[in-house]
Amino acid sequence: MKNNFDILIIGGGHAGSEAAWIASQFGLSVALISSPDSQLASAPCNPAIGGVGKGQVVREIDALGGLMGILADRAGIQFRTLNESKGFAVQSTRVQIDKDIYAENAELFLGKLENLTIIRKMVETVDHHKSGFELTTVDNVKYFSKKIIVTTGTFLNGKLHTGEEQNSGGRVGCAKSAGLNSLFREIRTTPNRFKTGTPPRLDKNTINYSVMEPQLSDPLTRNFHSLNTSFDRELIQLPCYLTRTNSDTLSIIRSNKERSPIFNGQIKGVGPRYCPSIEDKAYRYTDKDVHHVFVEPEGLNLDTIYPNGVSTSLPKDVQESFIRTIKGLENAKILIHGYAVEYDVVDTSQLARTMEYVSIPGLYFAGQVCGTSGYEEAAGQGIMAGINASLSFLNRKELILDRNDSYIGVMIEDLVTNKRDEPYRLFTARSENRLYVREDNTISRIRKYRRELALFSKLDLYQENFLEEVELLEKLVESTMIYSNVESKKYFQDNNYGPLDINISFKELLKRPNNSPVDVLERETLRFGISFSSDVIRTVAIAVKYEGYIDRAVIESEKINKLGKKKLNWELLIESKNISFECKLRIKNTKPETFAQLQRIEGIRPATLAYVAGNII
Amino acid sequence: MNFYTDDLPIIACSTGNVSNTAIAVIRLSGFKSLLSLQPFFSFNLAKVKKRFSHLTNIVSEERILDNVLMVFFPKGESYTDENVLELSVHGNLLNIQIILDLFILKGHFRSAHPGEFTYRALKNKKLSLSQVEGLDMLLNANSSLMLSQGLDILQGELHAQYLRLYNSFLKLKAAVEISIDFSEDIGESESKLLFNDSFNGFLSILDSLHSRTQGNISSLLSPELVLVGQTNAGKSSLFNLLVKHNRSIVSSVAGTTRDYISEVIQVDGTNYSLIDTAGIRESSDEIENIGIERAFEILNRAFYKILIINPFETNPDYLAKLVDVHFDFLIISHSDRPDFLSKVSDLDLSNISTSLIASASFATGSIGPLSNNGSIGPGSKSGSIGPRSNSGSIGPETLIEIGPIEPLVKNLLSKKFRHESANSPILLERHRHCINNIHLKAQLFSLKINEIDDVAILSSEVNIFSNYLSELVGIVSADDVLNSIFSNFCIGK
Repeated sequence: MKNNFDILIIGGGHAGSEAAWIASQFGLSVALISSPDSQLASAPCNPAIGGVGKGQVVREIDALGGLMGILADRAGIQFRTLNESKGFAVQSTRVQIDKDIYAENAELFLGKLENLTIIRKMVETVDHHKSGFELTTVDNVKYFSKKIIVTTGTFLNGKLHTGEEQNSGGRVGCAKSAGLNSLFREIRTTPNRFKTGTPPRLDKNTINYSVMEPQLSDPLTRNFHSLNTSFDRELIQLPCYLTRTNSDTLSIIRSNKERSPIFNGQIKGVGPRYCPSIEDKAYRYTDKDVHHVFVEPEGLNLDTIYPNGVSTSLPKDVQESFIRTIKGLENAKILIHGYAVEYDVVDTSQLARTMEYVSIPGLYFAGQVCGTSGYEEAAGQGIMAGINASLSFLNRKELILDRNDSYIGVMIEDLVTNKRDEPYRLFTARSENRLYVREDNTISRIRKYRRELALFSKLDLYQENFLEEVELLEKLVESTMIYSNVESKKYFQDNNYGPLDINISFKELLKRPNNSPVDVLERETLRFGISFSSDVIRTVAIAVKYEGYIDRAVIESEKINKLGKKKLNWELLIESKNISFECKLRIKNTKPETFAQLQRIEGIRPATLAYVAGNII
Repeated sequence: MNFYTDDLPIIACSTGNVSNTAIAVIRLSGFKSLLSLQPFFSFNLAKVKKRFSHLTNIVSEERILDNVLMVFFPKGESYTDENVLELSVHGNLLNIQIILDLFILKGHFRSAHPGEFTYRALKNKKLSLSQVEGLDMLLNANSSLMLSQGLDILQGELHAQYLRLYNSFLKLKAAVEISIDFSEDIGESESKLLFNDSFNGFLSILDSLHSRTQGNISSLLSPELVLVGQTNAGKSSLFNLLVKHNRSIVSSVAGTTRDYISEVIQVDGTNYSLIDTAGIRESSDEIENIGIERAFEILNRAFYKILIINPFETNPDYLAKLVDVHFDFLIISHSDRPDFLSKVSDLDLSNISTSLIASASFATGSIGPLSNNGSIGPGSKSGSIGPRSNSGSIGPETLIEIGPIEPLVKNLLSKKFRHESANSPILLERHRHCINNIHLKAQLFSLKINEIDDVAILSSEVNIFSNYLSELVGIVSADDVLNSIFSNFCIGK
């Protein structure tokens, strides 16, 4: 059996699978070592891929040649466009997935790669030498590799909590990975462990759906993978249901506060503010009893239901009683109880933007071990770690995504320039360039990066053709004039296009408010008998709509950007008498080098910013 | 700010050095060590106790130049955060110059640029940018209003109010972000409610700040009291009366004496430039015409305008020129002369707009109602001559009391000043500009809110006015404001 690899990946979750998939495209010999207890790319928490901001990441991964979009399309049992009524720039795709089918496809796609070896064992130790890394598994077999990518998720010293019960492990039914301890003695971790949680799983046959609001799959939501047709689905589509907590639910939770591991001190890790447990909601917002609970199927043939919104680590008896106060869940049976997991997190300020650990060349980290939450964030880091480990192995130039044209770029820059003190979730507000970093223009944004990989696959051909068509249609839109004559005026009136007193360009028509530019462009190309794919039309129409706003935002923010680039000395700042103790702590933790980085620290006070700005000379 | 680049030790006289005084303070900053200055002092500098006064001679080549008090503020405990030495010397101008020269020629000190001590305090983070703005206002104050606002800024009180606005803006911004990133979690209707609440909260704080930027601030910053009238109307009498009792220690700013004469008077803690315009008269002379133009310029920006009319010598053409000016006070002079009332009734004042009207005699120095016994007055001539008032149908108030002229004018002046500054107007031009900009953007924004269905664009609009807010609270590159600030400073500050 072969024991020498070019790249070795520890952890077969979303980050590890993505890293293995892309690294194999470079023709390198790659090994993926994963726990024998769990499937590849399994989804231990919510059964969905995508979401606000995250949908953009999935499409970016797809345009880079990643796996996530392919798997999500294959396993999708409900497709929706979030924020549909709120404008194209903030629309995001989310797909409910069949967890089993998702993981089966991951095994299938990764399994058929000839240069990828999948090893199902726990790792005992990892050591590094000048020539590379030496890894020993529990059965005392040694493996060698020049590059190693660690994507161990929540498994590093993972500890599970359900009420008073505590077990070690990365998730229910899986052992923790203690084996990396030898390597981790040299790795800096965050001072506080992180914590995340998941809700109890319910038996789908014990739920009264008739009293809940159904949410159906949207046939007009586009598939993730660009080589798939836009709207064809692989699987039968299922609804999700919306129900709500009430005062009974919350009073049960509140009266059991001392039994909650989060609040009685049993859990010391820091949880994500943006994905709070039901305990967090109950104790923090004491005046609010009604919270959304989305009832989501975990698969076509699985009996489990994921009640989204009630993640908890309360004792089992408390979980059972509060669940049954919720409308429609009066008789619900819990199949797996909710739990919280605490785990070690790498200090990502020690990473380069390639995801390489700066002081140990050849060692890369990606995924939840870097303190992020969410499958998409993990996969986004995984593909970048996989790409850069491969490029580095081949002595090629690194690939860095810019924060101005991708959410992956936003995330990685946020991770490596800041120390985190809570799990990092991506959302659109983190991007300064939200009007541009959209789902519809993913190929325009990402093509230049994909091109640098020089992998020349079917995907590349598709992207080049797509962009040629986009360019052609853009030229048409810009150069075509609509003349103000009787016929056109009448046509404008009939279609609610507004007045046509002077000749206008086609572009000006698309910019007019009150009409969806996509609808107008679709109708007009059809009328003129010009054939473009609906994806191309969409990309061009939306770009025209936002063009002016993007220019304006760029001009207006220039002054701030100028300030943002100014260098500062954080060591002097934390000695200042004019900065609050709390802000000093954050500054000390994150070590900002520029004003922009200081601004991005969460919880930094405006008074501090004003003081620092006024003192940068 | 390119001349501020070096960190040589600097020296300047920090008290006003325009005339000989008992004491003058010379400030030295940025020298390496106190002991390096030993050659200049008779006192053993090794024995100097920080922040204590020591009596010493200043010596140059064994010759005593002056006997002075010195106080040493070591690095870290001084205004500039550098080693600072303050010398209280005898305030003879020649003496000051000799001492300055000594340190510049033999001590490698450089003469400080205007505001350079403060600049170093800023650079060394002893003062914040906004504190410098406050200091600037404090040091250049013309009125107790400016003094107190300067102190407010220096102590960060105004800034605290801006931060309140900024925080309410952050809430608004968060509400927009929540509707994009977390609308599933909290629901659509609640996210709308949150947005409306936070926007209204933001607007109410903004409105109260904005109301403090309304009105003509320049007339409050350097208020002018302007006397208008023809020759022999009594302008000079009133001018002299006001100057005699209220001369300010501040000397008058040099003006073009051909156009007007001016003095500074102090009334109720505020310095006013008292201006006697001679320029407004009929003339075909080109230079005279320029004078007239300038007189109207002064008139337009003046804080308080008094028109004096001599009913015995009034040219109707002269009054016709004043048709567009609203006066605070109209004094009809020579009330002690016989025929006064009949002369007044001959006057055509229909072109004149004023808030208050009175008759006065500069010979007796008293002022009172237009008619002494009530038989004749503007009331009886209603319509025919009644001076216009800005408020339309209601005519000007008539002064009822009889009394001496000078205290009355003073009283009227400070009453108006108190009234105008009642809402504590924001005096700093940069702040006013920022607040007005934010207010304008917020107005435009509230018009658009219902039109914009694209939340991404809405949020982009919100972000755009966030830039102006950042500027207001000082999250703005320092060099953008430094130049304007330091142009006001003078040497030694």
